[in-house]
Amino acid sequence: MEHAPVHIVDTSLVAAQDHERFLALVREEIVPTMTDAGIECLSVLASSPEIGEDVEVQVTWRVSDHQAWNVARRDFFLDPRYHAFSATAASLRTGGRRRILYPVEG
Amino acid sequence: MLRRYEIYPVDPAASAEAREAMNVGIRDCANFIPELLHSAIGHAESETNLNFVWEHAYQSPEHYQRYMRHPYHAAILDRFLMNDSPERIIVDNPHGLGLVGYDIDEPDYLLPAGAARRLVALQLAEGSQERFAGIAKEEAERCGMINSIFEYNSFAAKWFDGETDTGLPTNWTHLWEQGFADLDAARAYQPQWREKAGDMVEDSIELLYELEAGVGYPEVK
Repeated sequence: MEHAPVHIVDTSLVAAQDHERFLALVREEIVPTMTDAGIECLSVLASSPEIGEDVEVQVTWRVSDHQAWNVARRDFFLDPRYHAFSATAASLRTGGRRRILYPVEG
Repeated sequence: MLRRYEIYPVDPAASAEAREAMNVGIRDCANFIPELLHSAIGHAESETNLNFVWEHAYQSPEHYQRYMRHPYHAAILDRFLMNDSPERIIVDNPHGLGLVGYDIDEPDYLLPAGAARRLVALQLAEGSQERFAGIAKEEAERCGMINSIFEYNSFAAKWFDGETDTGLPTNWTHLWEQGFADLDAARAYQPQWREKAGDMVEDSIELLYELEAGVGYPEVK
């Protein structure tokens, strides 16, 4: 398999009452910081807050390859905004999952 | 060679399954990244909340760079460790003691199976390295350490590629790896170096753990 481009698929679980705050954090702090580090935000999807479950917020990021991810990783880690939004996101999350995916042929 | 440590506080609320997944994923990652050498983890006793230690090495900065760019690093290691990962199971480290290490010619740090390590991170006063090295040598002989390596922490700011200074400051100027035959011996050790060093030591943290050797860790020194 060619490990490129790299898709980082982050799925966070947040309580229904917190989901709007979490989505605002994604829009206003997480996406701008990661974009500045060279990571493209492909999509932000969320499950319904009206079905009696925690809301799943799935953000998909893309970088060209693992070399580019390594450089972006350094750049966002050195950005104070990264540490601020990470702390807020952690306080709102009830669980989650990160997976790294790649396009498949055919 | 680059000798390297990663040190973390594991979230006390993390599930046993998640902890085990991280333990195995880190300890045995040489199964997937052959550039990674001499990997062992330890569940540390400490006066701080730092309770997870991963010790390992690389033959050269080029080997370290391949490790950093490997898909396993992004997919498995970062999953448990990166601040932004929804699966992170460590918490913020208030001590500034996370990634540290030093350069060494040979893997003198290896310990036999069943051995224990006391890792001492030191903030030494400027100009005291040579005098402290003498104290460390004396102390190792006095109490029968099976291994003692005292080195300048040259790795802390070079975590990106093993060569370039990222500018991220660290207070921890030196590392002292102390080897003991087993955990009981490491616990029984009564340090005298603090009294001898006096004002040379501006700060220190000690972590004590039994080595849980991973894939590729030689069983004898």
